[in-house]
Amino acid sequence: MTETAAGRRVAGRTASRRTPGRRRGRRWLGLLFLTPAAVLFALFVAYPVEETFRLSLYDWDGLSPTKAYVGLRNFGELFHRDPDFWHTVRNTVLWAAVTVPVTILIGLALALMLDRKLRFRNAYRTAFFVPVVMSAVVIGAVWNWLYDPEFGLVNEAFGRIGLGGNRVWLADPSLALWSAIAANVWRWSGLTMLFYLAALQSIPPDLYQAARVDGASEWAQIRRITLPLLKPMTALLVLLGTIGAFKEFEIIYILTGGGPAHATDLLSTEIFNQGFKLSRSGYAAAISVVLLVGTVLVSLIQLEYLSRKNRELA
Amino acid sequence: MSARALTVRRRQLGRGLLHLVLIVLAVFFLIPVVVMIVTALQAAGQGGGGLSIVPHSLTFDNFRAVWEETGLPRLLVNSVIVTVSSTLLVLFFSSLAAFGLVQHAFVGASVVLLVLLAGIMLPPAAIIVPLYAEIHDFGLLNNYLGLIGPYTALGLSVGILFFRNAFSAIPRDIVRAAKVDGASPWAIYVRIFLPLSLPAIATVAILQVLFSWNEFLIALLVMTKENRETAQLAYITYAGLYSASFEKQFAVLALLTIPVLLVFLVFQRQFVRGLTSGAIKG
Repeated sequence: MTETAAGRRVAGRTASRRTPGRRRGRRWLGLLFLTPAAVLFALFVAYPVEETFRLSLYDWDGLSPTKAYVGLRNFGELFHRDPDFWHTVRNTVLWAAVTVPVTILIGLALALMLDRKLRFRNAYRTAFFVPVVMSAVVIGAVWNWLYDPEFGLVNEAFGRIGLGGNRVWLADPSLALWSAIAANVWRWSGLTMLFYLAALQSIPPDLYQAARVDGASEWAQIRRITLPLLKPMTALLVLLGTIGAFKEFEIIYILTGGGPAHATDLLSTEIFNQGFKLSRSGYAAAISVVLLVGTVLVSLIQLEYLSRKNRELA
Repeated sequence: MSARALTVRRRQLGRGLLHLVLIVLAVFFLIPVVVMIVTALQAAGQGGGGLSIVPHSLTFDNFRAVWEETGLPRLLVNSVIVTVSSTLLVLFFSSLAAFGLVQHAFVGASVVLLVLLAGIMLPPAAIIVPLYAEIHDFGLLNNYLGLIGPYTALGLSVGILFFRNAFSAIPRDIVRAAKVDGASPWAIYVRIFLPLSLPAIATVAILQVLFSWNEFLIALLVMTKENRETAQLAYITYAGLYSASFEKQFAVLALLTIPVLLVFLVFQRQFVRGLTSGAIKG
């Protein structure tokens, strides 16, 4: 046993000594293995990204063979003359700024409750995770029905506990976006719970034992040990959640279609409106550029923060 | 004795309280799903709504009606074709690429990796205008490839992330030993790297199944003929047909959900392990 291991080590050393000739072949192999992924990525991701930037400088209806070059005029209209645009920016920011912390708090609470020997632990975990598996179309449709002013469960529940059961959740401009955000929080909390559960399991139990010996209460243990050690995971979840929030399209499309009167339109649904309902492809591309640049900027800032947190901990 | 009995009693009380809270929360999380399934099982006109989620009667008539009156079976088949194809392609292409990047790193490999991983943050809506034009120009509207291509491409970034993490954790000694035994790179990929990365395979597969089964925006634009539509489009396609029947609408929704729910429940263990271990490393 030890003989073969030693033999292998020697053989490995001789193998690596004669690499110069073979290494070029290996590099060529690396490119070969990468090719199928790279081609597909270039075709259906990289090229459309480049085209989005290019199209944002044109006036185009999406069909005709000719496009009129207009320079930055689309952006001029976007920033200075389109009242709906700033509205959708505000909605998108609000969507991310509310969904992300709330799902993180709920997921954290669920994970802390489930991070112990508990009967039915897996059943609870599965129950909280089921919404993550459902499609946005199904979630949008079901919540549309839950919010129904006449038959919906939400009004019924609010009525029973004396909070008034006659709201038009999705048709009231001041309520519609919040209602959609609530559905979105319900959808994703199980996912943050799952990530926190994994992070909690990687905390060494000795830390808690030592704290208990010192007489620390359960709450003190959570505050002094658990929460600080969960910071890197929280930073990761903020990043993933923000990216996810900027990607959202389907729930709004199904739940409200962006209405009433653009009250729930996100940048993504506005791109769809302009590009495919109003046939203003160039203008839609300009909005896409804003969404792309915004997503990348916010992600980079958070990535920087995330790597700093990881360094601190290491 | 009595002091110990007191702490035991207190712990039991705490347990009971915890279960109570968890049950209330679980009900809250499951109500929309339960409402959907229970309503779909109601006889016509009885899915009244409100808090009456206790079924008056149970019948599979809605499911049978939806199955026979609409093209839903065909739509489900289309979704299976697109989902299975793109999932297999993502598994193959992203593991192969990660293998190349980890095992045969070339000059600029880290830049390539960075570009590929950047795809994770890309909102599909932000490229939908040129993507649609491209699919149109390729003549791929109402063609399965018009969805399989973009779905695979959009899934590669996550796939490469998970496979790279899994592959990086494989001990170099095993690889060296195999090379000494004369194993070709392909054999090392198939016989060592893939078998040692089963949690990553399960996770990437489930993420891609979820993504391509549930995707709506691209499908909405690319598949315009009813016999090419994917299942997610059924809700809007048949909304008019069933505008008077909540029960049948919910039967449609339940049929869209049950397949992915089953996949998830069957592979739950591997999925949870792979997803979270990948996240902690990445």
